[in-house]
Amino acid sequence: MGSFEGVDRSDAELLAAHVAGDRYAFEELFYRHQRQLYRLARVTSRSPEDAADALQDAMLKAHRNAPAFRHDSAVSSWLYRIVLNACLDRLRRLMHNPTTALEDDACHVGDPMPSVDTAIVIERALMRLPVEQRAAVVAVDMQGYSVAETARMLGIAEGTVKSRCSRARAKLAGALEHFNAGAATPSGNRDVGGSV
Amino acid sequence: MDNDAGREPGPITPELLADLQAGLLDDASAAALRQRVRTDPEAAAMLAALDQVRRDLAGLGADESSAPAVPAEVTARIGAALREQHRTPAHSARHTPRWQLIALVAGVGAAVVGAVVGGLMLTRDPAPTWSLGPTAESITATRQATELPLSNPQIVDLLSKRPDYGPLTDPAQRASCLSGLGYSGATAVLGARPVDMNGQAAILIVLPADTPRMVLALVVEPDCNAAHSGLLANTLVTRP
Repeated sequence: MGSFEGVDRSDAELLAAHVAGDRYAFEELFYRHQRQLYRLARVTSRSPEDAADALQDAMLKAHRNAPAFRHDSAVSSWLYRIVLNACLDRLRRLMHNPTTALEDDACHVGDPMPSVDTAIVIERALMRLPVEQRAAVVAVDMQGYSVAETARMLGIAEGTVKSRCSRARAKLAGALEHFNAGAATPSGNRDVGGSV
Repeated sequence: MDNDAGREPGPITPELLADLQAGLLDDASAAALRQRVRTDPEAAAMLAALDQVRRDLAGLGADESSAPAVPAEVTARIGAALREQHRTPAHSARHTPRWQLIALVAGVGAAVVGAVVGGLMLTRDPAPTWSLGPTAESITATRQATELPLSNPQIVDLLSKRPDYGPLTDPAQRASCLSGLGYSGATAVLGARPVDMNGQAAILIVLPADTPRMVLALVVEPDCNAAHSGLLANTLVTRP
């Protein structure tokens, strides 16, 4: 159901249509951004199942709260924020439950692709990180939240966010180092396999 | 890290530089390390690699095309959950389109072709009050029956042309105008043209009506919005 010209509606138009009562507009908005939203959920969740659960929770929440959206940011930014919050909220509750072991499933982001690509390498390297390091560096570096904001979302101290980001970045740099084989390799100690 | 004046500083490791980058070092240690990095090309390269990691992650966040496909069952499950939301009573209490009222009125009285309905109660209500069908009392004439600036054939002609929204070209404003008229902001607009309505600039827009063979032509003021419909005239037209 589009306009006469057959041109896709913008994100803002879809959200406005949803608020005005269009039954399919929000679904269309979700399909438009689902890959990016799912990837965000995957890199900030322990498992694909958790990611799918968190993504569903987030989309239902966005669906309900759409009338409150003030268009003070892009619609997509708003969606990413809700997804990130849902995922980090889950992690926060899990981390504070001493009986829950934060084990990562063996995980792969996306299908193997024939051509090697920085995005693929980064994602694979990310998914090899423990989830708490992943979550911190995704919030700060991928989604652009401040250390303070990330600390609040994860329910941890700012110093902890910083140290998790530090370890995550060091490991990722190591992974990319191997990818960028042409770069000069330092002669010094290159132990990047440190513990959590 | 110890940084006493007499001691040899430790090796510059990626972890140390990552700590520097993350703001974990105290000011003095950070300053000293940066000084060393400035004269150590390998350390500088490591720090540059760490900066590149941050840029690559930011790029990942911004690049939709690199995101892998979502498992079909996840898409299906979430799509179904979203559709389920619309079946809750709270959502279905939204008003149904006003064109149903207009079509009913047209059917009650008059010939269908070129019937000028004019002056209907099109002010915005929070809930429909005409569920039993319109009566004479419920139709508030806000304006005398008014002739449109375009004839019916001219209106039909607009259906085969690209809409010219004039002052309503901005989609957000157009959506607001439609909602002020009682329509979903996503209602398909079948045609549009700026017109002159008795010396006043206006826009004629053509919307779907109750049946596929009919369309509804509305003439609205350029500043119509959700709070003010600015409706000047309207008519139902049968397509040939």
